[in-house]
Amino acid sequence: MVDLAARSAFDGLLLPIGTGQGVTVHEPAGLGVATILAGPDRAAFAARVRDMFAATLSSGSMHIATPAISFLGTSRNVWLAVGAGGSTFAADLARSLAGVGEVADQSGAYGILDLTGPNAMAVLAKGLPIDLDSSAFAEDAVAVSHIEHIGVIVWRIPGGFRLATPRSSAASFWHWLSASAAEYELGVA
Amino acid sequence: MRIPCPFCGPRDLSEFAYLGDAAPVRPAETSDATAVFDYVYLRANPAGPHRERWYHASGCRLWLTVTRDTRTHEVLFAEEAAP
Repeated sequence: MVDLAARSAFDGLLLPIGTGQGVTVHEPAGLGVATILAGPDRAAFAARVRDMFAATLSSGSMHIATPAISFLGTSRNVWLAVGAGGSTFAADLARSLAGVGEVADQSGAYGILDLTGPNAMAVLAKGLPIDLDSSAFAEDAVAVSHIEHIGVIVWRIPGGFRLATPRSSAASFWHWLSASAAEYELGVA
Repeated sequence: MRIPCPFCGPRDLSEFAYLGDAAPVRPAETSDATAVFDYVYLRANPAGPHRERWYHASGCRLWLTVTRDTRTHEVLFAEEAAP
């Protein structure tokens, strides 16, 4: 029997272009990703989320962060949840929301990258049709959009932005990112 | 052109796909061929405000009804399309 080894979406792709003084990319390890669809009883769903995660999910493209999970509003009554736990993350989440919402494991569907540094916003401005200035993109904002025809979900982290992009397009996305960030001495952490 | 998505906020045109006129209503199955012909082929071409369907394909994936001035491309209003 063949043993399959888990590989991250950007495994073998992230090679530094420069010193990292302008922008640094990092692929966080061990994250689980899942989509949550609220059930028809919205009040019961909201109450369960409040009880289990001490979070109040509002309807909108907003990022609600708890110590364990980030909830990203991606559509009407739909959230992307990101948190530690790797392969058991979605199953644990599904148990927590059993009966009030549907959970689908997306851990193998998305690659996650953290882009930090003083030029992180300038790099994203080359491909993302979203104004990421704090006057337009609030601290708790989420953007579901695209870069070079590749879907991307963007939200803030300390010192920069976290990006979720389809794993199947990881190589193409890295091509864009490495070319766009080269002038800012892209480093890999 | 930017479209004010009711869920995501103002977004670039590149995130959306255009369906067309929001006015045509599918005729009943008992309708005659003329009504079906009108539904499939006939479209108004107004110079001014026009209600049309857009799909936020790269965003929240909601269908929207957008009121757009065809002379200026000014988007006057956008709302979630009724199911």
